[in-house]
Amino acid sequence: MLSRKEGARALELYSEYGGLVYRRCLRLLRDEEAARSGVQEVFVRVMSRLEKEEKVHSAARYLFRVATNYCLHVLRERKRLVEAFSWEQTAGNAREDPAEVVERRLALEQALSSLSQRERLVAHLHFGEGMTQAEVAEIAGLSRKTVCVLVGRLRRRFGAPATAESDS
Amino acid sequence: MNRHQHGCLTTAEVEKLLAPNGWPEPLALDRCEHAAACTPCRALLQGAREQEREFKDSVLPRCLPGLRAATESHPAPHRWAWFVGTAAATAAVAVLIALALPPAWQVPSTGGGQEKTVTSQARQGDGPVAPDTGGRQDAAPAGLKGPASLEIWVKRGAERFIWEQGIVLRPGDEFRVVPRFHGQRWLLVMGRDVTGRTQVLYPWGGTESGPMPSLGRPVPSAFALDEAPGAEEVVALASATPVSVDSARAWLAHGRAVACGATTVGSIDVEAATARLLKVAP
Repeated sequence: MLSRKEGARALELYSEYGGLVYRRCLRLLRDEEAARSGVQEVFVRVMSRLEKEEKVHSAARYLFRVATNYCLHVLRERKRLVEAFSWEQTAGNAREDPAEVVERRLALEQALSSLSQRERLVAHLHFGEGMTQAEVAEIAGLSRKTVCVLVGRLRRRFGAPATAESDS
Repeated sequence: MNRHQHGCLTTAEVEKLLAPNGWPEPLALDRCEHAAACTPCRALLQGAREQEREFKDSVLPRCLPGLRAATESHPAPHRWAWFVGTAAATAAVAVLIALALPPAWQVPSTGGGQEKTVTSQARQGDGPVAPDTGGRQDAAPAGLKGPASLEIWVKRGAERFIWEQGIVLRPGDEFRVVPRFHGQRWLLVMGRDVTGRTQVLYPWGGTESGPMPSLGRPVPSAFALDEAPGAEEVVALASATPVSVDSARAWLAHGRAVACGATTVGSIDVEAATARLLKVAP
């Protein structure tokens, strides 16, 4: 059982930051019903870790991360992980053979699925959401250097173009 | 593609504007100013605010009972193991220390009981009664009442509304400040404009903190926003003993953007809450 204090804290977090989690789920899952159950899932997960997790002053950052990981997990289960990345929009053009586009998408889906949770989160935040490496480091709870290394590795793996930020 | 390269807000920055208290670092001032001036970013913020409203109107009431039930039935399987293990280890160490020490050794009295009495009297004194200035540093009560925050009541002509993060204000709008702190007895509210100029809003023209208003009541006086565009910060510092305006100014001028939460101003522990009001000409 959760203690009374933990229960109160969970409900407090829910009232305060439920909207943030809902927006995250809605953005990634693109379905209101899935987003609603996503909010509940995320908070049930959070409750079990209340004692050891970060302080209230960084609750939003923590919930942002947990909600994103949850949604990426759901998309992976649905084999629709590509949708969490803006690469999908540049995957093909009208002149391409649709079969090739589908094939490439499947290959990309498989490659994304094979990433670790941490790599997937960093890839999504940086390439999908367009966040800077500093922002990714803040949300993922990693050092800037680790994020830089991970982004470089992902770039080599997926052949994504380098940006001014990574060049510097 | 990087939204920062286009200067626009990322999703994390939108969230920082909507719920700044939950982030360790608030959104930088230049990004707030960009949000106020950029049409796509304002649309993004507007969309996020609508989703927040939708959540509060339809999702929150439906999910809250389920979560409440889950908090009552959620198992915590390892807690007893941890507790028993820690208690056993502590007891073993205590026995070893007791055996190793010479018999004449005694724990000196610390007078802790008296301190507890003082703290409990101070907490009972919450309310409109003028607070005691005996230099005590009252501990904040356990965090069950929610984090400290500021509510801003805005009056624009005949329209009245409560300001939320992301709402853009206009020169001439009048506002009142409602502090929401628990267990603190003194309050200092300061305004800081985009040029860094500070002004004491409560106690108006004072040199140090004034008594904390009753919970949910605004501080005396309404304030009007001037013509200068940009962001205007309202910073409230709640403390157990009064904070001088000079030390608050020095703290504000220290360069770092003001975060909400516990901090130290001068040598006094304070709880800070900030509202960053964005202002553009209509």
